Amino acid sequence: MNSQAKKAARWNFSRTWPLHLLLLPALLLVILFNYLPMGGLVIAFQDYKPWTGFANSPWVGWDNFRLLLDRPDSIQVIRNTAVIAIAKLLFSLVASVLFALLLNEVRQRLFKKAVQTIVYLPHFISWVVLSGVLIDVLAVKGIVNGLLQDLFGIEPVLFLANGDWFRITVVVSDIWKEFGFGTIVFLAALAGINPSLYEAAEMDGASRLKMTLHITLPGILPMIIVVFTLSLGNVLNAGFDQIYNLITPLVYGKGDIIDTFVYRTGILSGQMSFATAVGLFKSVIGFVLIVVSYRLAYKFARYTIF
Amino acid sequence: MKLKKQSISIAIATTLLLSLLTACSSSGNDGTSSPTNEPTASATAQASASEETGSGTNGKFDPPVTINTVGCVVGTELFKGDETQENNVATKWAKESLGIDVKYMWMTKEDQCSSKIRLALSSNEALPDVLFTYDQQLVADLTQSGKLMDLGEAFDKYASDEFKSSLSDATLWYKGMKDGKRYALPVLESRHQNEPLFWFREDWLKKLELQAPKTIEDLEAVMDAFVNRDPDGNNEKDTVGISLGFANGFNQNMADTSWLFGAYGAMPGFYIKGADGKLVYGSTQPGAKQALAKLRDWMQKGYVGKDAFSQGGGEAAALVTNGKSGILPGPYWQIVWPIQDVAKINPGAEMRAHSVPSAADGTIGFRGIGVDNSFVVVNKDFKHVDALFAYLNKLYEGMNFIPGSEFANGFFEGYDYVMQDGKPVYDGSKVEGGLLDIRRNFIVPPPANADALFNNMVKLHSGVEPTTPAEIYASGAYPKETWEAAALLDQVKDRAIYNQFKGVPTPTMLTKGDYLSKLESETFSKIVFGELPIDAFDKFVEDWQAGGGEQILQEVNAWYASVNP
Repeated sequence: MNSQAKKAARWNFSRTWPLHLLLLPALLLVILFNYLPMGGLVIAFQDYKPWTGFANSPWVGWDNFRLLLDRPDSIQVIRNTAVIAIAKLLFSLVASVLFALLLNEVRQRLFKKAVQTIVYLPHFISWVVLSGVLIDVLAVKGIVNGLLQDLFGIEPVLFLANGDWFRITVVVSDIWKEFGFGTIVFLAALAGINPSLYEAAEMDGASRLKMTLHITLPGILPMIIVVFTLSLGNVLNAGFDQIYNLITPLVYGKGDIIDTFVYRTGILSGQMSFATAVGLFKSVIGFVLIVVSYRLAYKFARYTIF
Repeated sequence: MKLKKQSISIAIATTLLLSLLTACSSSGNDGTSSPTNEPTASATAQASASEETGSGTNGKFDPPVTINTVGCVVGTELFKGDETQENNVATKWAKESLGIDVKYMWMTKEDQCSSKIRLALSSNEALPDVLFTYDQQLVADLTQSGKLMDLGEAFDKYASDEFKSSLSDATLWYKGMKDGKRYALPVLESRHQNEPLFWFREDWLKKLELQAPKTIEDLEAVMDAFVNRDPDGNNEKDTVGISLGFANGFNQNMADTSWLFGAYGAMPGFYIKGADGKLVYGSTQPGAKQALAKLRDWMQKGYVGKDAFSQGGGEAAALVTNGKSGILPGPYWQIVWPIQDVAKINPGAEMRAHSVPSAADGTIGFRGIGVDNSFVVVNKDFKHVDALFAYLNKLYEGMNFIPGSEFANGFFEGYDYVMQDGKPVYDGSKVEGGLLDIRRNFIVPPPANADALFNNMVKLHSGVEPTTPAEIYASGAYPKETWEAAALLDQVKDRAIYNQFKGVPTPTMLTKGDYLSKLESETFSKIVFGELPIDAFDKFVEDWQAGGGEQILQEVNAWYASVNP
């Protein structure tokens, strides 16, 4: 039996080895650029100086992690990061899915393609440029406040100077920029749903809403779970580019995130060990969240990615 | 298909190879084509020049000396014709008249340069022989790595007398010093170029029958008029009193507020001399509270726009360009930008510089920016530091228009100046095809005598006819308005408040510095914005002390004592 299985496996391999070969470059890339550099994580526990190298830099244990957690404002910074990141994650997922569903109902092919292209274009604008535009548009005498005042008589809103408004601005502008791109993956999933299901539902007299709820949504649910689970790994990445370019000291209390703070302490003054320690800290939390959500997805939805 | 691809790659490979070959042969030509009598001629010229300057080493190096360096390019460098960073009029000159071969080991964008050097350090790659950098932390790191040459001795031995005298002030060397040794040679900038003046819309002042203010109280009256009395005459209340931008703090280049803090004896972000001679932190001084109270008041009254917090200097200055603001504090180079644009966009607009206003008791104070912001460091293993100084001595001559030097009129005719009717012209707008700023064509931007340009402009403003080459340069390259600005600054230049701490960040700065500066900017901003009461300042001072500030002050003072024994 055993030898038979082996033989089967060997026969299988002799048939599929070209496919494995195709996998090889990707595998090499991952090993070379994702796994090998992990050795460098050792500097998170050292007082690393470039000229002494990994081997000779003094060992400092958890000091670099303590530096992050000992700051009087560290809780605040971590909370800001989590709040902004989770809000972005949830709302952008909802926005992408909803938009994909809406777009899926559009029958006019040309219109559909055009809309799809237009909504994902902002993805390619850099935050440096976009924040300049936002700062201008959202200024006290900017277009948005001008409109609000003229149409509704609302007093100027301090979008970037008030902590709560700052968070909302950050989340909304990020969703506006990225939801179109997120939609692509769901559109692909939608295309994969068996049309016969819709035909059958139509026979049974189901409305479009019913079809959406009972065929389309369940059809792309696995994809939603995959996207959600994978993006949980980014739960401590609240978007450095965006916040760094928009933040002012007035909103530090609600807007300063781990990355902006690491940039200031770790990168600007060349404290590589500290920057690495924070990176490791973020990755570990992200990893734990991915594992947990993966388990939960399996437990409740009987769904596995791998 | 496959064949076709292969032939394409072969074609590319051969072109590359060919271009390599031609590159080699052309550089070979350079070496042989220069006539043999030329080097000796230039060598004698140099020898005589060296007698004049009294420098120890000169003449052409034979065999040629190679200086390996790296190119940290800003990206805006301009070159004439097909010249490049590696092969241009400056490298040719170095080779032909000094016998110095300049080799660029690699080139990258300036902002990535430090990282690249640090990487080279960690992988034990060879460091360049000579490195020019703005990064004081990198200098400190390199010093600590033990791979730098102690430059002090070489400087004393090889630098020309003029070059030496420009660096005779010992404090200029502090940023590159360790254990009393001078590891980094400061490359000086021109003095007072980042210290504030006030520009007013003279036409608005005239229209509202106001005088340019002398004190901060007068200034408040002018700002009030600029906000409430419709200076632009469009019957809309759409002007602010003054252009200030807080996005980068309260002590910055354009749209600066350091003059307000300085008038009350404080200076945000700087370590300044306290009453007992020890260094204190400029942001925690009582005067800062007064300044913040003023700013808060001004914001409430609409003199300063609420958007000032998301505006940096440039955005705040744009208010002046757009005719929405009539006062712009900032350095004298604002004459060129943005003030030149004001009259273009607002017909009839006229802007004029004045000194910064004083406190009620007449005290004036504003930020002083040191001239020692960039450095040259040399690899410990570099054998020809004499060649480097021969090179630097020449650059010094050209940068400072030393009479009698081959560079008395500037560096290379047709590049940074042209001769018209026997006189050098430095204004690019008067030259067909313009002029080139070639300072970055050298391996080190030419070191300036920090005071020369400023003093010459002051002289010119007083009506002196330019006679020396340096004066002729100042009169040709800088517009009259700059002379006036320089003369204004000259009257108050001893009121500039400098950052006395020039060491590398102390250990506590590295660990607690970011928290403290965040605390500071958040508290200051909220006080000005009106989200916190003015008395929150007192709590900030306590928190700053307790959160590591006290330790930092001890470290800073220990450093200060070590350089001022």
